[in-house]
Amino acid sequence: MTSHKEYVCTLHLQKDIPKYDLMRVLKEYEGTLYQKPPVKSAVKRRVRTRKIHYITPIDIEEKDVLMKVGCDAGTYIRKLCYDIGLSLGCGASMKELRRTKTGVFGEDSTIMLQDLLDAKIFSIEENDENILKKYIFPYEIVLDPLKKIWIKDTAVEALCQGSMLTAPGVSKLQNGISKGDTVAIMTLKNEAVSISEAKMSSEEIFQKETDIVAKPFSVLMETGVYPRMWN
Amino acid sequence: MKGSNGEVLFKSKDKTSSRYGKRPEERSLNELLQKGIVNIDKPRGPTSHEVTSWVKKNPWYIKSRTLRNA
Repeated sequence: MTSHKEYVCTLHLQKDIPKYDLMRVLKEYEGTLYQKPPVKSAVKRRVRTRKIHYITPIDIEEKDVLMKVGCDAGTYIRKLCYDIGLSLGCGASMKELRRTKTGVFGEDSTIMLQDLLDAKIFSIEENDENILKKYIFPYEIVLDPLKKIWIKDTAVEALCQGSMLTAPGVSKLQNGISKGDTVAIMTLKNEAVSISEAKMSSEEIFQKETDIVAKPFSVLMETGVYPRMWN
Repeated sequence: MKGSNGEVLFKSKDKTSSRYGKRPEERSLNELLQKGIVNIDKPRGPTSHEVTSWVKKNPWYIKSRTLRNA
C-alpha cells in the first residue's frame, strides 16, 4: 500500500441532523471499511478494504459539515460522504474536496503555479538560481518513509546497471528491515540508487558475508557516476 | 542486536570518495531539475496531468518520474 492521505472536505447533508447523531456516525466510520470503486474509476471495480485513520469535524454550518479525513491511499472520499449519508438516514454528498497531505508532503511545502513561474523569472533576472532552488527538493525526500541500506562506493555502479545487492556491498543499514520489505538503497553521500525488495532481514544482512541482500525494482541513479569496480 | 526501529547498524567502516557523486543538498539548479521534486498547490479546475505538463513544458524542463512502490 502506498502513502497515506489527508483531505479536507465539505459534507453536504440533505436534511438537518442533530449534532450528536452526526458526531456518533462520524466516529463509527473511523477504522476499516469496505468500499467498491465508483462506476467511473481507473481501477477494477471490486470491493476492497481501506482504513480511515481519523475524521475530525472542523466546522458545522446548517447542512454543511467541514471535516478533515486521514485515510489510506485509494479511499474514495465522495463514496465515504455518500455512505455517511446512508448511515444518518438522510442522504449526503460531497461538495468540496482538497487534499492536504500525501505521504511526507504537507500543505506547508507547496507552491502555487504562479509563484513558481515568478520564482523562475526572478531567478533569471537576478541571475540567482537560489530563488528557484528553494522550491525544488532533492527527490530523495520521497524515500523518507522507507528503511534504508547504504552501500559502498565500489558497489554503486554495479547497482546502477541493475544488478542485485549482495552482502559485501553493504556499508550500513537501518534496523527493523524484514524479508520482503521495500527498501531504499543509498550511497554513502545519501544519494538514492534504487528502490528494492529486501531479500533478508536487518539481522541477516548484518551477519552474512555472502548472498543476495536486495533485488531492485526501480533504479534511480544513472550509470557512469561512480567507477566500475568489477572485472 | 537490539534497539528501536531505524537505528543504524554499521556493517563496515567505509569512507566515500569526493571524486564521485554529490550530496543531494549540494546539487545545482540544473541537477535539481533532473533529480528534484516540486510540491505544487494545484488549483481547482485543471487536472493534475495538465499541471504537470505545463510545468514540464517550461524551458527549464522539470523531469518527473513515477516512483513505483514509494
